[in-house]
Amino acid sequence: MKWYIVKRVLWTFVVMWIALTLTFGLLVASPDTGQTKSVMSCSASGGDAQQCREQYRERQNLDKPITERYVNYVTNMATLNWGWSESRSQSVMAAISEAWPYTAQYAIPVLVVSTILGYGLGLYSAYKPYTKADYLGSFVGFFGISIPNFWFALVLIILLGTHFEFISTYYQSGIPINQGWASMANITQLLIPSFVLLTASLAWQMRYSRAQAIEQMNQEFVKVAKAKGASQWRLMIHHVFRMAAVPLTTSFVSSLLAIFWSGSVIIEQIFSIPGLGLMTFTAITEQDTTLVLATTMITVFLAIIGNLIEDVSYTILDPRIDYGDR
Amino acid sequence: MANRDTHARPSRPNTDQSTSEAHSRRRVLKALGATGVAAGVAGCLGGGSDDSAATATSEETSSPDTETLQPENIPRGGTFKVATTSTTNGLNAFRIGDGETSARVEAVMDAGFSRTGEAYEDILPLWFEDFSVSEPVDQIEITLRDNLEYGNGYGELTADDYLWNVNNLWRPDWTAFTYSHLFNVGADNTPITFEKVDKYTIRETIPEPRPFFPYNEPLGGMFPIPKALAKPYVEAEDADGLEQDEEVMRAAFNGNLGLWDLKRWSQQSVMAFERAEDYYLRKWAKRDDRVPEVMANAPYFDEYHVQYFNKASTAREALKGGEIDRVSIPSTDVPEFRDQGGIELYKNPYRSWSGYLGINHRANGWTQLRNKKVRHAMAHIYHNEFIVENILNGRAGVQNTLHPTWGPYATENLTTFSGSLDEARRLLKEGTSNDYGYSGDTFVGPDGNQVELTIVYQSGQTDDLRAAYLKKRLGKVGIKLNQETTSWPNLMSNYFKTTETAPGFSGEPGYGDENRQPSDYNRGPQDEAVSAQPWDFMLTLGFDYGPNTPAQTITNLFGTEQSFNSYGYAPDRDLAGMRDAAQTAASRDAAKAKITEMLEYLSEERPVIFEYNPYNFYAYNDSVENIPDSPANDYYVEERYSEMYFSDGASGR
Repeated sequence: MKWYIVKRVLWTFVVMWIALTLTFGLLVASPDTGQTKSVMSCSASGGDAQQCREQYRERQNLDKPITERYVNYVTNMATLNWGWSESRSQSVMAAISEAWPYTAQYAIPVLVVSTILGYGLGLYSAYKPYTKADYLGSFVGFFGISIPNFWFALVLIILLGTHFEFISTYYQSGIPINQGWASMANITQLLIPSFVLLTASLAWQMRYSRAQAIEQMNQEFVKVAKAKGASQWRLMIHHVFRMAAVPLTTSFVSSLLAIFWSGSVIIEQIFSIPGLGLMTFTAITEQDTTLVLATTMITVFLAIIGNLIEDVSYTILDPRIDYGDR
Repeated sequence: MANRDTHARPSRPNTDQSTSEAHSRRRVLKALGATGVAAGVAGCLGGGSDDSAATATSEETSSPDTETLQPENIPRGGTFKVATTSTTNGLNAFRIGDGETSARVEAVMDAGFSRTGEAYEDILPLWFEDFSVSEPVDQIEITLRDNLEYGNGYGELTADDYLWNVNNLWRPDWTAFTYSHLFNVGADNTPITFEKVDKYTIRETIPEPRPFFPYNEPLGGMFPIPKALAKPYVEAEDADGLEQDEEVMRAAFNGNLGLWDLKRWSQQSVMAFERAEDYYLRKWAKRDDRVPEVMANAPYFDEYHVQYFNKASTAREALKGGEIDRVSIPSTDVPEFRDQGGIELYKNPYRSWSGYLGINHRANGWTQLRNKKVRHAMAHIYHNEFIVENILNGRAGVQNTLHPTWGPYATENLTTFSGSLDEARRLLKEGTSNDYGYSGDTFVGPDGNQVELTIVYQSGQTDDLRAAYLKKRLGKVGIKLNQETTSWPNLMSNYFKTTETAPGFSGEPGYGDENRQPSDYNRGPQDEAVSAQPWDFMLTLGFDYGPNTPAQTITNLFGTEQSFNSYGYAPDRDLAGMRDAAQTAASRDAAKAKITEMLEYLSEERPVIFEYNPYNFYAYNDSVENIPDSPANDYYVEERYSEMYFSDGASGR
């Protein structure tokens, strides 16, 4: 098992290197907005466009051989020197470290709550299928999956923010700084964004866990446990959920990333939360290549590490799984 | 940097210009807008076209008479929050490339002066106590006030700082300063001479009189960086280092030079300013008759926040909810806000922006559009009066040339079109080559198939309607239109830039024997350089410019070898020569004849289908006082946040 983990960690470096190389290729192939801006400004000022372009390329070391640039690029990435973000006028590292707490403050609680609540409700629905409670759960689930986040968020803003003035219509980033991240004012202004994000992720977890649990409940070992007099609680948690958790775990990392890169992007745009989602979206729309690449690398890293954790957790959840001889 | 309006650059569409921009942008335009060096390719979706007819009620407002309200009686306090949908590069006076950044810098540093009218002497003096223009117009003397202080121990702002910045930052090539061209005049780029007269006085001299020089002179809009701060970067010729210096990016050296000090900047969220306690102009409000008395205690808000919204609709909801005090309103939302309680609408019909239907004259467009008759047919088909009345609901002025209807060179003698489809069909038949013609109701090309054209634009409420109108009208004359929507960066990169070599042309594109490429937007003649993607018509992208000297804008956009003639239009007259004649005329009146001639030529030529200049609307929380009378009565009216205050001295919710 230890050898397996070591191999996987080593493999992580290989995958990261491949990802780095691919992103470098994309970087070389994609249009350089910095060059565009610089040449445009320079030529608008009466300079010769070709000369302006050459000056820019020299300044940015683009005139050097591609191999040299590749080595420099990989070295910089490995040493966390990720460059300058044009869209934010700060270093990429500073941009990420400034943005991530704004996302983490609601995304992590949403992930935890949606997992606990989603799996819990899913198990309950599976335990009592085709009852009113199950139908209610199904309704909530389909509602959450079906309703578009951006629309739901706007409706809540108009209703609760503009009409009733219960909530703030936008996220005020000064509150966590002045009053603290855990202050009531900050928690209050995060309630609606979190709720919107929760509807989608909770629904998905609930429906998926319900399906998995129902499948497990028909297994022989569950019948045996039931025949031996296991309590309903023990039956559901110790036998059904534990087995259902194996396939559920496989989707955990993807759901985490989905929250970050789809839910967060929408939520942060609508509520003006200056987190990773908004940062990435702006970087893409403003063609801030260095920042896009950095966020891509983080995603790749999270996916790789997350998958490793998933694989290891299988052995804990299901003793029949063993990587000992791999 | 005030000078941004004198310099052409692409920018993304923005109907929500929402920061202090309206305030500072005007200042900028007034300070230097007259250069007219094509102010910026400012795409604009609807561009704030607003309802003149429908604005007769709550849009007509008047503010309290502040002349009778003594500064000491004006309540002070609260946080004034304005919404913006534009991001910024901070407060970097060294790298101002967009209107939003310029507006933010002007919050912490006044420029030399603000123009209040067309006459040379019509200025609100800020840093410059005096601005004297010689007769004939070949010399300007500026005198700085004697109480201008940098912060962080950089000392007094004097003539030496300006001259050092001219020689070490604004002119040298290595800094790639965006506005370096302003330090030269004329087609041959003759340098302006700057001399120190005394500690506070600088003399600017040009080799021959130019009537527009007082509008174009560069110093009035510049923000000198302290010598001690910039010197290490200058010695190392490290432009990136200076650009990324924290003190520069946050204008931390602003001292008493502006109304506000930066308190906090959270990227893509809020830029918070606090009232500058030792603002230099307060002293002059009591001594200088040209400075409004209300400035004696300005600003009247404790803090001023520019709140970023990614979605303009959320910003408008925030205003309705009382959490924001000012937001830009698109023309389509005017009726909704007019009827909304607790909100005051401010209408400004004076926006120097032209919206038009771009035409691709290059080899990857429909080459028949190079024929004037075909373009005239298009002007009938895509009828600007119909668009203004029915798509923009009358909230714009109808343009028949590249000049706002209210501009100083507006002329009646322009070519207009009736919108007749019969006339359009006739012109199409006459204007196209012999292998084009009608087969029944269908207009067919040499291959016998219906002519199919393509329009590209960024999807948006107004542009979708404009494109649909063109499609419907072209359909009626037998031409099929394909609609392509794209993002703003893609529109610029793949359609407006001429990055590719035209099919059938071998060799390096460019003008003349030296293959001169004026810019990425015009890398050569129409049969040599083309955009990456083919297109025939383009919406979304328009031009913003200083209205007082349109000659340079016209030349930049439609001149043969000019930076922004991406359209590939090949005029049969020497626009650059006409521009030079206008700019070196003996007086502005003498120049007027030449400028009018250029505008009339464009009107008749229709290199693009001119459409409209929009009106802008802004909604204020009604607890904000001293908003200018609505509608604004001339181009020089500013929304000065420095003179506004909350009726009860505190912000809303």
